[in-house]
Amino acid sequence: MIVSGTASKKMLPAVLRIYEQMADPKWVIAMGACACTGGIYKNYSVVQGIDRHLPVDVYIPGCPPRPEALLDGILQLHAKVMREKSLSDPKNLLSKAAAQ
Amino acid sequence: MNQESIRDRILQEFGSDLQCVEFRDQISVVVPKDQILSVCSFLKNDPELNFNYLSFVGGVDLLPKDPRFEIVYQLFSVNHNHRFRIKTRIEESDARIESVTSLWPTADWHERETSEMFGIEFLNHPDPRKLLLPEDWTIHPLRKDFPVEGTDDTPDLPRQGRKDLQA
Repeated sequence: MIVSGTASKKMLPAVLRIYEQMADPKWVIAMGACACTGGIYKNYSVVQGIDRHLPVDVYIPGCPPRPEALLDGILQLHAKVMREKSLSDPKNLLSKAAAQ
Repeated sequence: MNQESIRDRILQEFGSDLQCVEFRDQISVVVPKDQILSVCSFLKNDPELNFNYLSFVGGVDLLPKDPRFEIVYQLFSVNHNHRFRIKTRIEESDARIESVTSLWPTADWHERETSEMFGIEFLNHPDPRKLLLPEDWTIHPLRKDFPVEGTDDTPDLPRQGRKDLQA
């Protein structure tokens, strides 16, 4: 899922709930300065980075991020997904599992 | 009506000892807290004034002044196309004021926000819940002595556990 903006503390339970409702396998992109770190909002009501509560795979910086940055983030995630053993070398993975 | 004649009309009705504030050519009248409903009702129902639209209700924390809080009502008359501002001051020790939702239903959310942000209770409010803050919070962020970066009372997640996970 893409966390695409400021995550307020009041909204955080809803964000977590959506994450938990997603089917595995799942990945998380933090899009923009606010989702990555809280951005300019260093205050009482904003979560200081969604990675405090979700396992983020790709961080896209920028305020706002350029469209190219978002595209690059998605491509980075593609590359990361393709590095998963079950995708790049399924046969080897199966034979190893059989040997054990 | 221009703002001078609106002011005079109010003073004529409620006594000339009401305090008037003039700032940058704008006049506002400071109303005693216990008269707020009668003044508002007069402003709304008097045919010459006829303030049938309440644009905004907000609060001000004047710390360290006493009385500490000020509630500001921005009024507009659609029929006469004139505006006016009235204020009332509230002590911290008795942070309560009568709600004006009975006159202008739109005051509902404005008063709920003012209530949670400053810790002021609006009496006889039809729905006195929090508007913006998480329900379990007890802080009042727009008070001048509130640390803007938060305290232990502003956790990311509710301490009592997430409501959406409870049966």
